[in-house]
Amino acid sequence: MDGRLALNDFAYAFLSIMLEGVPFILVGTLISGAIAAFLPGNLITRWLPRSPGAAVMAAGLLGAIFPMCECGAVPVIRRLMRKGLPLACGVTYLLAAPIVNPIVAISTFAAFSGQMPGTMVALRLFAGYFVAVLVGFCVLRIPVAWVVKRGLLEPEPAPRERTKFSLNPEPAAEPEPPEIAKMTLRQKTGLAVNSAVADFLEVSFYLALGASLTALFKVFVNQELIMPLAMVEPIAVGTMMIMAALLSLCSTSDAFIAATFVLFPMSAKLAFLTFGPMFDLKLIFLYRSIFRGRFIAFLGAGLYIVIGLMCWRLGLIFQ
Amino acid sequence: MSGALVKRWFCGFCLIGWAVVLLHFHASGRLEYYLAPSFHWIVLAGGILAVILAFAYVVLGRSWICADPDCSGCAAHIEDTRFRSWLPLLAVVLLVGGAIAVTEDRFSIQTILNTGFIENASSVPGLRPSFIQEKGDSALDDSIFGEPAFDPKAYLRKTPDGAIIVEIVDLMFASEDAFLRADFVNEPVEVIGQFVPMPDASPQDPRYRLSRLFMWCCAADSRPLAITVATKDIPDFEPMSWVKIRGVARFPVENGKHTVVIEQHSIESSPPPEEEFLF
Repeated sequence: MDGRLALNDFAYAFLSIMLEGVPFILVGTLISGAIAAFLPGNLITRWLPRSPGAAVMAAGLLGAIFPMCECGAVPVIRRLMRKGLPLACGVTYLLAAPIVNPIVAISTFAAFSGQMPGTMVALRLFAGYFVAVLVGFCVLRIPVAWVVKRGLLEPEPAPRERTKFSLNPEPAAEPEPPEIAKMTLRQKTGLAVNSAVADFLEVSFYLALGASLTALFKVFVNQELIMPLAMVEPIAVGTMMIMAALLSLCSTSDAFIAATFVLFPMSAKLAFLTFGPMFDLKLIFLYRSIFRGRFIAFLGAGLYIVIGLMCWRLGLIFQ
Repeated sequence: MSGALVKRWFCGFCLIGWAVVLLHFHASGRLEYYLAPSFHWIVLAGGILAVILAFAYVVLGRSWICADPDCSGCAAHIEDTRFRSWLPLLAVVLLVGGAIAVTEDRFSIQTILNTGFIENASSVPGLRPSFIQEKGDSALDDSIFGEPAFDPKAYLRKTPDGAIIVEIVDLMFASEDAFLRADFVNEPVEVIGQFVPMPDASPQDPRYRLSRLFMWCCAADSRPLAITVATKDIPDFEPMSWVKIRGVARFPVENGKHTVVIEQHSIESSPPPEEEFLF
């Protein structure tokens, strides 16, 4: 391929993804800034059920009330975890919210018009919720230090020596720092702005990395090569999940793409719609702002196996 | 100038940069080549938000938080100094700036070929015949896969010499619907699209594709729709250049399904349509 044309195509695909994602990240980081400055530290734990299991199940449904796309959810969850949201609940919300929300349900129904839309919507919501809660229950049993990024687990240093992007290692509610509690509204607003800017600049970097890899895939990989893989259902399911990870689509619109893969069985499309919003190229980089690399690798492998097997069996409903 | 102040200005510069990019793409119309119309207001709102945030951060942020010059690090200062690494910021600035500098706001033929062509209109959710878009949604249910809801003579536009002015998408739908097909079969048509050579076509049966890109959200997820054009000689046009062809619409049965083949009578270079993408 001609180098100049490849560079042009890469730049075009990259920019289109960034232009689509950046406004949503801006909104997400503004919310995260507001949480940092205005949300009392123990409020979240007071709202959640006391039982860890019930709290995880409740977190899986929060997307229905607070719908977020996968890009915007990352800074919000990171901030909420600093404010005391239990880690397992944060992970559950992060995985479920891009799927279990009304916007995605409506867009999926519209996209699959004529292809059993009601069944597809119901199975997508069920699969998204079930898998997210399952991962949440697993995280409940894993040490926090194994999940959260290494630099974020060190004890809180003195303010001036504090490590960048630090995250409260203990997901239990921390008492409000005395300086924030004493701040005036004007000062809290300033703190929210500063936090939002820091979050935006950091998260947009991870988005740029993910968008770069997705653009490389768009430019250099012949997508027609995968078509023969549609004939054997288990292979088709696995292939579509890899496609979802590589294409890094927004969950509000991925159903429109999935529906065009007419040769692939419905189970494979369901796997595409469940796996993609939970784990794709851009999300790998966004997750790096919260989680350890080892956890991200296990999360990806686990999601691939569980969603693949589940969607393969759920595919019987479409027959 | 202190390091913290330089960092503050640089972060502010990055935010302003994003605001300029978002607002420029929206105001200049370039956004049309990148995102579907439903995202345009979101980009505008994002640009305005970035301007406000940058202004608040650079000009007002510090005075809002801590006016104490001897402050040794209150909670506000912690947040203020949290973002210490310049490298990610520089990487984003260089990536985005470089991309804006080199892009021509369109894909080359190689990427289009990699994406794969869609030749079956009913497999594309959200796609509608052009006359349905003009007539409104209410016409859709009755006119596709059923009795036409209105007289086809009323919606078929023609050139002075009688060729039906048609979109690629209309012919794709016609290949799947007998009622629509009856309006076009063996009729002279005029259609605009992007020229795509078909290198694997037989020399005894020279063909090429006429394509339009359909975008759901952003250019990265766009897919090319295509119909086939049969000709005596492959014309010499740049791949992906805009052409206007005239010919006769045929709908031969291939592999048990009707497909679209235009028998080309003439081809000429054409300016792109008002909206280059289908949405």
